[in-house]
Amino acid sequence: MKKNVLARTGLALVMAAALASCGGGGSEYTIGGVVYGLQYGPLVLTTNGMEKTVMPDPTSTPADVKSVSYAFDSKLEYGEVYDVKLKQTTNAAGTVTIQYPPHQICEASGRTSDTAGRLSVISADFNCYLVTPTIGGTVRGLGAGTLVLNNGSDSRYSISAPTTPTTPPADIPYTFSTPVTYGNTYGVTVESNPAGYTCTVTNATGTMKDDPVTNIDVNCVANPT
Amino acid sequence: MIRSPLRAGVALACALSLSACGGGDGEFYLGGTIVNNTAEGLILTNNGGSDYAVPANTSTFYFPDLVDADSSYRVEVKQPPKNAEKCEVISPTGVGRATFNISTIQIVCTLKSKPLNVTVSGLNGGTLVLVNGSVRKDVTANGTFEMSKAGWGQPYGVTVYTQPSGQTCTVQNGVGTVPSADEPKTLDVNVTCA
Repeated sequence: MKKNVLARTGLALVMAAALASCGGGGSEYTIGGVVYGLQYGPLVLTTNGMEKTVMPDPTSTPADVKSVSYAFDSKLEYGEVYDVKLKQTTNAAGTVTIQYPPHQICEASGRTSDTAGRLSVISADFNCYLVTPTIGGTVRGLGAGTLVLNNGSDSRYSISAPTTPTTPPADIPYTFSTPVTYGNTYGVTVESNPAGYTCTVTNATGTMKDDPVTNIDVNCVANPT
Repeated sequence: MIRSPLRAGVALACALSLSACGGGDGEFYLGGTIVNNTAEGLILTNNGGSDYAVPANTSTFYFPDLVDADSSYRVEVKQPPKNAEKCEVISPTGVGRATFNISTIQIVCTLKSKPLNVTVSGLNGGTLVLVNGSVRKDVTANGTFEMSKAGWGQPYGVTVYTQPSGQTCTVQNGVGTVPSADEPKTLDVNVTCA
């Protein structure tokens, strides 16, 4: 009799312990995933009224950017719909702006929206890239021929005078087709002058920041005859 | 019954994309994409068979011989283009079994390159910063060093990013196009500081 009571008590304790983790039909599904390529933080993700700040792995280097895992703090219940997005802000005029991490753009790469419980593992993954603004400027005085510029060994860009040039020659805005990655240097040089002209570059060098560079101006002067 | 429309499709694809298709009597075409095929000379083989010379300046290829259904294939580079160091079959490995038309084989050629050797003279204690596009070198002593490598036919342009304090440096022969030839072996740039 006594033995039986003890066994029963023990069983009840075990059951109580096991049930506690079940939580009586509470939230069960963790929303999370992996962020690849994150070099600068913070990246702020949102879903179901929650917000999660993701920071880069401190051991990452530009040559070896480590992926980071994240999970929202609260779990979802079976059947709840989630949609993980970068945090957005809306200004007074109603314009929605996505809050990207500094110097980067991030895109969804996994299944970032679904119904909790439909998949056994929720992986709302994101890929982040450094921004790649363009470089360019204005060519002045190009009355004839073709000017070839390069940004070192990274890219080359040709600019031709219009077929019916005006006098004086019109200003020609230009933009290299190949952009420059954030943090990289650029150095624009004249690879070949148009026939009969000598061109010089101002603001030729710099280090890429977040916005396009538009002040790499080129001044062409007709050679003395 | 199923074979005829498939064959018709293959023939049509070949007619559209190739002038010289249909040597083999197989079912499926085998091909993909090529990066940096900018000169004559690229030769591909499948299963060590006959040479397929890929024309220069094409970025897609299909073997003229069709492959049999369920046959294995092994794409290899027998010879790179004249201006390339090597070509590698990247994706997939070039080995597989043909159960459908294959256009996913990716071949990447690496252009031959020359070292861009920079000689700095007259530098007097300061730091000179040079760039060749995204390549940056901080120079604190006179002498010759390799700035970077530049591929055949690619541009190069060495410029002063930051002058050393109290001095002005000028670059000679810093800009141009890398010749697509074995000679010269190096590109030599001079920087004189005064």
